[in-house]
Amino acid sequence: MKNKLPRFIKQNQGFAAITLIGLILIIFITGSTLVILTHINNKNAIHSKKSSECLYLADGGIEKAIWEVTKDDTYAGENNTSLGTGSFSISVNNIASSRYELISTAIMPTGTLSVTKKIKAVIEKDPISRVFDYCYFINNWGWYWGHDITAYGDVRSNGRFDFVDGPRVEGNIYAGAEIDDHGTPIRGSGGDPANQHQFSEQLPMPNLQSLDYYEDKAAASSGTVVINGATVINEVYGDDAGESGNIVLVGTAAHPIEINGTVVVRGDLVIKGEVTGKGTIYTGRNIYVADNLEYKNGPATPRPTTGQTADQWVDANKDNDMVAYAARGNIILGDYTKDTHYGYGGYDQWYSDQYLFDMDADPNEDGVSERKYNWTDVETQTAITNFDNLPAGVTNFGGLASNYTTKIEGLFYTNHAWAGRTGNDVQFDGSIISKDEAIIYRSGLTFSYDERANSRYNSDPNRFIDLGLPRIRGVYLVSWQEIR
Amino acid sequence: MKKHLKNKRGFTLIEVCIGIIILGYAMIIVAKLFGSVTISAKASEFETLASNFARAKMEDLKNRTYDSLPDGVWTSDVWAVDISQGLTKTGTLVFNRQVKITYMQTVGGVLTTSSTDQGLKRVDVMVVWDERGKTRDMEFTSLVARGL
Repeated sequence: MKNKLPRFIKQNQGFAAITLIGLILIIFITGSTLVILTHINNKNAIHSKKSSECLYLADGGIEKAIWEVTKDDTYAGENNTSLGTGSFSISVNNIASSRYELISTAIMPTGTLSVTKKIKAVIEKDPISRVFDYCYFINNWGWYWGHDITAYGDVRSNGRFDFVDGPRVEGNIYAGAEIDDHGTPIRGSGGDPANQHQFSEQLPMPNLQSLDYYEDKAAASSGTVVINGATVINEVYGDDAGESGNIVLVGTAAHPIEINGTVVVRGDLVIKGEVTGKGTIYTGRNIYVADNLEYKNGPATPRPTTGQTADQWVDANKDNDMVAYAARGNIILGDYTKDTHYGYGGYDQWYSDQYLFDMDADPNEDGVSERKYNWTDVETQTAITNFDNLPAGVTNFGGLASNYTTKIEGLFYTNHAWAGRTGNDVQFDGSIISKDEAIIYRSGLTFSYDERANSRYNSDPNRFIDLGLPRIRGVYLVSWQEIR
Repeated sequence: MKKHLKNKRGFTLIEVCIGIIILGYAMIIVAKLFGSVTISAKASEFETLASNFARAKMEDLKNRTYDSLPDGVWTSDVWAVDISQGLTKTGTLVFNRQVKITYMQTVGGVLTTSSTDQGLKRVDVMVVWDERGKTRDMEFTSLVARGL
C-alpha cells in the first residue's frame, strides 16, 4: 500500500512553528477584517448622519429662497449663508412667468468628512389654483342630488360628497371627507371605486378679499370689455367719475360682449347673452347670470369626441372663446325676484334658508361675512335702474332675467354661494367653483369640464391660455429633487 | 529552518513555550481588539438610532403648516431603547430629543434671529444621549418659510 502521508510527517519533522505562524496569520487577518469593517460601519453611520444634516440644511436653503422670492421677484440668490454647523448657497433662475428654478447647495465641513448636498426645486409664485381642474368644485359639502345630474369631467369637494338617486359622473370623484352614494350606485366611470378618492387633500381657494392684484393685472394687460365697438369697461369699472361700479352687460349674436384680458367691476355685474374673446371678469360683489350665457365662437364640442385625446381637443380649440367670471361675493343665476321656490314656503327660501349654510363669521378671511346668507346677500346692492349700461325699457330685474336658462358657458369662481334656478336640461360647459351651491334645475343638469383650464397646461407654452384666473397667494412647489 | 526540518529533530520544550507565549499575546491583542470593535459598532448603532429619532421629528415638523410651528421654546421628549445585550448592561439607553423653533430674518443680508414673525422660522432638532458615561449629541437644523 502506498503511503500518502505528507512527506514532512513521514520524516518525523516538527511543524509547530508553521502552525503557530498560520494561527497568528489567521488571527491577524480576522482581527484586521473586523477592525476595517467596524471602521467602515462607523464611517457610514457618521456619513449618513452628516448627509441627513446637510440635506436638511440644503432644504432650509430652498425655504429661504422661497421666502425671499415671495418678498422680492428680483431675488438672485446668495452665497455661503451660515446656518447651524454648515452653510448654504442659493442660485435662482426665473424660467417662466412666476416660475423659478432654485438650486440650494449645502456644505457641512466636519474634519476630513466634508459633506455636500444639492437640491433643485421649481416653484410657482402666486399660482393659479388647482380648483379649476374640475367641472364642479365645492369648498365645503358637495351634493349631486338627482338621477338626472351628469358630469363629464372630474368633480371635487373639500368636505364630504353626497350622491343621491344615482347621478352620473364620467370622471374621478374627490372629497375631503366621505363619498356617499346613499345606497344607489353612481353611474358612469365615477361609480368605479377606483375613481373615488375619499379623504383627499383640501385644495386652497384663492382669496379675493383684495382685488388690488387683479386691478393691477387689468391695468397691465389693458383689459377691456367692448360691445358693438364701444368700450364699456376699461380695465377697472368704478374707478372713474361717472362709473357707479355696477354694470349690465348684454351680448347678442350680432353684438357679443368682447372680453379682452382681465377687467375688474368693483360692484355688481349683471350679464347675459353671447360673449367672445379671452379673459376674466372680477367683481367686488355679486355676479348675476341673468339668462343664457354662451360663447359666440366656443369649442366645436364641449368635450373631446370619441377617440380624441384631451390634448388634441385643447389644440383644436385653443383659439376659441374662453372666459372666466370671479366674484368676491355670490354668483346668482336667473331671476331671483320671481317666485322660484321649489316646494318650500317662500320665494327666498331656496336661495338662503333651505340650501345655503350657516357659517362662522368669516372663515375664509375674505372680508365677506358668512353668517347664514340672507336676502340682502342675494339682491343687487342697488336697484337695477341705478346700474350703468342698462338696456332701454328695463325697469326692474325681472325685465332682464329669466328662470329658464338652458346654456351657461364659462369658468365661474366664488368662495361663497353659487345659487339659482334653471330651465329644462341646462348645460354648464366649463367649471362651477364655489363654497355653497344651490342650483335648482328642471329635468336635467349637465356639467362638461373645459379641458383648456386644466393646470397641467400651466407649464406648457403651446397649450397654456393665460386668462388671468384667480391665484393662490403664496408659493406652489412644482418639483423638488436632490441632485449631484 | 530548512536545515532544522531536515534534521528530523522535534521542537524543544523551550521552543514550544515561546510559541505558546506568542500565541497568548496574539490572543490577548485580539480579545482587546474585539472589545473595542464591539464598542465602536455599538456607538455606530446608537448614532444611527439617534439620527433616525432626530430625522423623524424633523420630517414631522417640515410637513406641518408654517403657522402650526410654535415659536421660541425648547420642547422635548424621550425614547428609551432596550439595549440589555449591549455594553452598558443597564437595560435601556435613553435618547432625549429637543426641538426649538425660532423666528428668523435677514439684516444686511445676514441671516439672524428675530423677535417677531417675519415669515421664516429656524427649526432645530437635537438628540442627546449618554453613552458609557459620556454625553453625546447631534443636531439637525433647517428653515421653514411661510407660503408653501
